[in-house]
Amino acid sequence: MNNKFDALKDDDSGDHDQDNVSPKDCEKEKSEDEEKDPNTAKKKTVVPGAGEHPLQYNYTFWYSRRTPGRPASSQSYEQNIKQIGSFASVEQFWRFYSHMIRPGDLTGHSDFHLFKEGIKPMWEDDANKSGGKWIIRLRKGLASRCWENLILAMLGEQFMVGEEICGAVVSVRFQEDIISIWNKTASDQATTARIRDTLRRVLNLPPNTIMEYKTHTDSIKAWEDFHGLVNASGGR
Amino acid sequence: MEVSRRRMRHLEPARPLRRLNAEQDQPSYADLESFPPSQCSSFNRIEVEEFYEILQLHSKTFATKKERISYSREFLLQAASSPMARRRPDFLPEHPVVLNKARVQDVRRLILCTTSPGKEDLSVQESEKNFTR
Repeated sequence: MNNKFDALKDDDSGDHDQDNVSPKDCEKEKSEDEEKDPNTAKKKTVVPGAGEHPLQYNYTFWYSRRTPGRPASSQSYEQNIKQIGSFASVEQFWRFYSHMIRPGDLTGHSDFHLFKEGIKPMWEDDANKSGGKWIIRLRKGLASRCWENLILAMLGEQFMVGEEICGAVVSVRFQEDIISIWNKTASDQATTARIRDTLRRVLNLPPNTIMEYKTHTDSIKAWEDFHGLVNASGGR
Repeated sequence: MEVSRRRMRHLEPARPLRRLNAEQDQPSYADLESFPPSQCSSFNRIEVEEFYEILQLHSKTFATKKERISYSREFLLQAASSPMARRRPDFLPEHPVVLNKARVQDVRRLILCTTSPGKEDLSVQESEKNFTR
């Protein structure tokens, strides 16, 4: 039992936290998610207002939370993840950001996701499926500051890796918080190295901070393995 | 005749081909011989790649969209205090993490942090050291 949880814990940074959802449920959620296209069409209309500072890309804020106590199988990923809004300029970003709770003030098992408009914070999204993420585990109390530094660097195009960045996640957990940044091509070592170095610089991380890179393929495999084990032993 | 031919051969690699072609108002018989017609016509033709290059140069001058729009942390933090950045978004879902009023004091604190970056760096680094495993 412990082993399973260790394997999962590795992966516990932001995306699908459907630890107890059966694979069958997940399949269903994915197709539901894909059908939600009217929303995507609406998002496309976000443009910078007059006199505002345009961003290189439009972004969307998402929020997800695992409700404690409720049977996880009745929840879907789609029910768990909510779009807060999309923005196209610096000013629009601050409008959303200042009207949201800071990650450090969140309680329970929850995540903020900030992704480029059109990219879902899911491993299976076309932009993410060959990608991966840098993960940094933070002790409690640092999440807000680090998250702000991370997203300001992303919005300000400080990573200098072309189109590679997909989005960023902050995950509030019981004893620690995790921030991660996702990119498109996990196999592109020049890109992942540059992202790592920029992260160190913008987060003021000391050289001995442990940073872990994980491909989404590995995340999916770990997740599937875990659920395979659960099903084989008859659990749900 | 023989002299001019030799001179041409000598100049050929030293001068850019395009300029050579343009400057020759009245090419001698020898010159024509050294540049077969097919090669001559290619000088005056714009290749597809060149065409796109010219187009890109134009779009760069008129719309700066080709460049990356980048902002420093300091600039972004300063922009947070503008009235445009503090208005409530037009479309904001009702949600436990969504606030009715902007967290103005937080944004102010962020800006204060920027004015004394040295201090801030130190505090982050110290706390990071404690937790790193």
